[in-house]
Amino acid sequence: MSETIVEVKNLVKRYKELIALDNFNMKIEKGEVFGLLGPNGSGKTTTINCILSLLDFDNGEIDVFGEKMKSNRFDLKKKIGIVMQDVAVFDELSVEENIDYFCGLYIDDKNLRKQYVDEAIKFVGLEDFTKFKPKKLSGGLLRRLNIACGIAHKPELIILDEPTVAVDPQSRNKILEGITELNKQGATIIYTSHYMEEVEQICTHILIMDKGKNVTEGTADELKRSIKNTENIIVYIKNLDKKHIEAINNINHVYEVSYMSGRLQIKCAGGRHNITHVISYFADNNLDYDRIYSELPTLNDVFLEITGKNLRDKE
Amino acid sequence: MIVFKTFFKVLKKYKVSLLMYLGISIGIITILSSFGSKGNTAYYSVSQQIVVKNNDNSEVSKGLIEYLSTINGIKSADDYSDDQITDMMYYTRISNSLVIPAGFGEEFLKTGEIGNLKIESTKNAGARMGYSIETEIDSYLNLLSGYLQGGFDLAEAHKYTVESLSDKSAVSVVADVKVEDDKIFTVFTMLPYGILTMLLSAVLPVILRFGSALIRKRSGISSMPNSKRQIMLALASAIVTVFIVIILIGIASGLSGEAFSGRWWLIVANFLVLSLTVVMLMVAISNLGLKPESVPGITNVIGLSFSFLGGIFVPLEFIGSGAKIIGQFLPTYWYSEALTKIKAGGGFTEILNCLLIQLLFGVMVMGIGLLAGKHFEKRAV
Repeated sequence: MSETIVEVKNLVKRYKELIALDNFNMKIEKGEVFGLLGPNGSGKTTTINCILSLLDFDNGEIDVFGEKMKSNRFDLKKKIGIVMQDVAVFDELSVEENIDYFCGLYIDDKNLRKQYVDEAIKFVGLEDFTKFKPKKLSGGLLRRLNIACGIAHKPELIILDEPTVAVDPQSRNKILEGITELNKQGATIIYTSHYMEEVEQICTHILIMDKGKNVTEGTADELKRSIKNTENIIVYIKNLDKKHIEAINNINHVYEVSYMSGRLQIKCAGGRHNITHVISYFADNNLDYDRIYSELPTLNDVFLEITGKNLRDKE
Repeated sequence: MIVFKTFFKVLKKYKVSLLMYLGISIGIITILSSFGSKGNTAYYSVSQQIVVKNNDNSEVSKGLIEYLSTINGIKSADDYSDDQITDMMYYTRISNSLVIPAGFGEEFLKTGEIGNLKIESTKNAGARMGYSIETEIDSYLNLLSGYLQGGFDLAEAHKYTVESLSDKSAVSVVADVKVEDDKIFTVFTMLPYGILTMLLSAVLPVILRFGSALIRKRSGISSMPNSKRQIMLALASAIVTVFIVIILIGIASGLSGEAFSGRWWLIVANFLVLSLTVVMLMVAISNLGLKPESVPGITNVIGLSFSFLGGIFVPLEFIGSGAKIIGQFLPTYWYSEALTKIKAGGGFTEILNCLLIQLLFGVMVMGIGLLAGKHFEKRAV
């Protein structure tokens, strides 16, 4: 039987007239990499702040490690690590001193802390930068320092709030590998990000929320299967007339067609061999195209279909 | 202990500012103390050596010489050659050479004035005090003339003249003698600038760093209670503050050459109250959600404005009425006011209201700062 690490029940949080969380529910099992997704302003950060007791809430319950979470439950907090979206380090301290400080907020034993700090430095690959001040680090290295500060005390639950914002692909890859490794070592992860490919890559369970409510949840595959879109056909073609776009839209199972900068995207709902129907249309109408391929919907498609394409205010 | 240790690690980054403002403070104090105590030049009777050649030998001239001898050393010109007198003048062994012409006394008694028979006074060009002899001569003769016109005979007039002038003689001769006793006020007057700039430039940025929204949020999630972190921060800040205060008091006492006297304790108490007020001001500023990068600007604005308006750089009596009104809202003004009262001989009772006003300023500013801090904290979460 799996162990529940975090359980949020009917959580309600109001900011005066605004309802930030509206009977929100969430359950995270031990060993999961739990993706918490939602547009800006959907309530992700509010949820995390409530879990961490940084915010009081109006109604509902939050259990962490099977016990009620309160601001004075330092025993529970000791088992939690947080990597915030904004890098929270001391500019005046070196890499090693920063990790030592944040680890020291949890671990009193100096020798044990030294061991943990060394392991954290090695884990994020900052061995060559231990004496560097944060301002001397690149964006990617700074993110890795931020992670090291959050995980050095070896927490059982790690909350990562968009840890890969504005980092280069190499650092991002290193960070994602690290998160997977932490998970393998036994840590349960709550991961929020706007990079859907990352979430799809590492999360074992995904919850999408919007306007403070649960929208849907499941594995990436389950979510993909739950939406209308089952196949995307991409065609690179120049100067396509509007009449052809309308005609393609009328092909069986096609429900949405968009054409921009020579890229035609055809969304299909159900059906098989949809791509052959599209190819046939081009052949019948003597239309030359550069490239055509079919792909399954991504988590991004799931996210956009569920939460809509309208722009949201920043949370 | 990690917060305590980290406080000092972060403080190391600001040691240059700390030492710089310490240096500036010591520099200002040293320079000002070497100039004397802000126009408090005192007036002392200074005895001078003069040579007198009396060609008159009347009772009037004898009386004059007798009076001058009560203040100065008188040498008779008959004992020296002209060359010797010139040499003595050159080597400043004497400040004046007086020649009283024959018939001077008779003329004076007749007219009541010096008339054409003036006393010839040769002054040493390098001795400014030579002028004072002429002042003494004028004072004597004017007063003597007054008594004579009042109906007194010469002997009585001379007696009363000498008596009257003897009351004045203690302040009749101007000399540039610095009053070493008042040096303690000069050096302690400057200390508020030191404590303000040192605390604000070095300790404030450290507190701001620990109090920055991200660090506070990140630390607030940890398993260390907020109260424990705050206690360690307060303890570390207090240690640094006490260290700075002791250093400043030590330097000021050393430069003034006065310590552990009755007024020294009062002056130190005044400074301790001001230091406490500065700490409260620092706590208030640290709650405003500012970044450590803004500290140099804050230090300069507060350090200079508090010093100029509070009578630290410019004595309160020289501050304009408008600036004085503004200054009364600053603790430095009441610090200076307390020093003035101590200097005038005031005790603890006399300066108590000044101390209380300083503390009141600190409490009010800190209260406003804490309220503002709560507002910023809510917004940050």
